[in-house]
Amino acid sequence: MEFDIANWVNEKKTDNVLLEHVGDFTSDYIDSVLPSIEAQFDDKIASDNIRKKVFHIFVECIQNLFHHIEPISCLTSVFGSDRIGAILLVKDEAGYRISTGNFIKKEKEKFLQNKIDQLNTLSADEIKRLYRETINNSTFSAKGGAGIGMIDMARKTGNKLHYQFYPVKGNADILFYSFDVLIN
Amino acid sequence: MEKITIEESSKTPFISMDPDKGLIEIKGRSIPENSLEFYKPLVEWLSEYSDTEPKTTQVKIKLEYFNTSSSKCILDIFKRLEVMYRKGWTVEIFWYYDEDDEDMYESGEDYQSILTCPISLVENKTF
Repeated sequence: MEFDIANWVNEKKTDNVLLEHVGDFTSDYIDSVLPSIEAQFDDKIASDNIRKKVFHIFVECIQNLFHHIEPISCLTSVFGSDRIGAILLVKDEAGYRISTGNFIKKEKEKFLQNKIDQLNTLSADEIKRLYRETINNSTFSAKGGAGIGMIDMARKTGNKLHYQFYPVKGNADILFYSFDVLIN
Repeated sequence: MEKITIEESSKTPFISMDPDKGLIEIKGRSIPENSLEFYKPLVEWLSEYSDTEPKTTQVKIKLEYFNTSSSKCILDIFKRLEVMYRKGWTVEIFWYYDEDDEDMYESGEDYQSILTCPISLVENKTF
């Protein structure tokens, strides 16, 4: 299996990286990383409103990885674990950007693509309405559901969501799903 | 029935549900990975509480952060309270938010738009 996560990380990096992690996303890891993110905010993010937005979206992104990273056995030989994902929080001239990446089964590609493409066509009012309908009418599992996290990110940031699927050489059933959200 | 008190943690809010006073308080952050598991006992408590036919219930909620799965669980709690309100019992919900926290204000508006039970949005206060 071939996909170079280090290359992907380098593509996403700017001169100002607040957090970079490649590996498994356990509850203990999330417990340990959230306070360190907040400590950095005190120094680097002046506006209280932006600080809250960045933290809120960061929690959604990292918990998405926690819930949706799929164990893929062939990753073990490369990474030492079958549950691998990546997250970066960077600052650039446009604002704060959170990038996540994880391996998914190819069958999920269409669902994610349709969900994000649809969100990106909606106005702020339409997204608000969709959020309210979804939270009121959808059934959620312990993992979340109905793409409510993505709707929330689109709504809170007011920005388009970006994604890309990278093929994985030697395994046609798996893709690397890259997701970016800008907060400014 | 018994009072529930849960201390605040780095990911879960302080909870107090007092059947004698008819007072429910939720305060802090609600960002657990598994919100359904955290809120399940609270929803069950409300079912039992409703069976006691409480004539007056006051709910105070002030959250610093909450994740989307918590937002659904909080709606489930509000829906239980709405059933009580529709029975003609007094249910007052106070949704507190910081002065410049537009997102938290909008979340209060979201709940107002979904529920018929009145929700008061209260700026910049603690309880």
